[in-house]
Amino acid sequence: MVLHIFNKGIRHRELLKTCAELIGPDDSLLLIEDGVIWAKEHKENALIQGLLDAGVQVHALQEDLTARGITAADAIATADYAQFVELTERHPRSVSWF
Amino acid sequence: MKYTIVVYGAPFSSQAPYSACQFAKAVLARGHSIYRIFFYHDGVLNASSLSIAPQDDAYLPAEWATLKREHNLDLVACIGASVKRGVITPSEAERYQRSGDSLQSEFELSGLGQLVDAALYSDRVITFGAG
Amino acid sequence: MSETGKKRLLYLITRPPFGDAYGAEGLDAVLAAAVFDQDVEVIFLEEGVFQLSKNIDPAPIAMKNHAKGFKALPIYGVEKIFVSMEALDKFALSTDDLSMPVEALEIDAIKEKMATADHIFSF
Repeated sequence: MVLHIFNKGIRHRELLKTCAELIGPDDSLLLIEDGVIWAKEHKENALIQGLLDAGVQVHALQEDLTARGITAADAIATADYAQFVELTERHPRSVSWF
Repeated sequence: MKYTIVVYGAPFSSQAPYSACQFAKAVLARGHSIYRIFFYHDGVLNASSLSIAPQDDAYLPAEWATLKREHNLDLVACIGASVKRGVITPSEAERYQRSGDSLQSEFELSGLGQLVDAALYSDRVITFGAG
Repeated sequence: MSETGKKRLLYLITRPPFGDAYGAEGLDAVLAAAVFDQDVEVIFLEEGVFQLSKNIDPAPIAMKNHAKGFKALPIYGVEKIFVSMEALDKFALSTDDLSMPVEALEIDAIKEKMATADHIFSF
């Protein structure tokens, strides 16, 4: 179980593609900082949709959504900092993509 | 659990250190301990005593200092990455004949071995990357 | 934790050389880990494979050639060095084009290494 922490917006699509390919079925994705842009409903969201279809949990950090005035799509779970910590408790290891 | 937090981003340049600071507070609030906060890459600029915030802006180096005083945290900046970026102790200032030193007193400069040591003794290592 | 009681530390190198300091500083982090006699693994992903280009010559850009340090990793006891097969394919490279002997890994093998590491550092 790996928690993938991704902090870049859609200019970094190739990075998210690399990250998404390496996400296993038990892993989770947490979008933080500019990464929360991915959580908004948007065109060409095949990468995020592909993960959701594969049953991967996709979270977006609520504080970063609020800061940017963005509302996450329904399929994305929001997590505050306390829940971010909780995610790191549940996943024995994490990898940061930036 | 024991956490180590790794910070690669500089204040005023990247959100990474602000995220790391919020995360550190949340880790402590959930009853965990922080083994070390390790600053590397441009993250070493968090340890500079010479940066000045605009009046209406948060000053992160002071936040780290407060966090350290309240929770006795180990704040370590990589010495190699620091001296390259102008974060130096009085002894380095003297050794390299620089006009002043620039390490905030709550931080310590040490080698990358401190990052490996942190990985060996921590249950979790969370990196806040930048750039 | 590996069978030997050592921690498994996985280092991902994801960026090409010279554009930023992550390659050079990632290398330093791996070298530091080598001293601790742990189970250290390095995987070059994506543009990170260019850290292992055979003909690196930063003389024209007046920068230091940190990348030859990667070649020296086995001397320091870091022998588990891998590249992503997909990254090689993407750039029409083979392991023969690289500056050192490395094993190319399929995506699933990389996933497996990530899933079994104690800690993962990315640069």
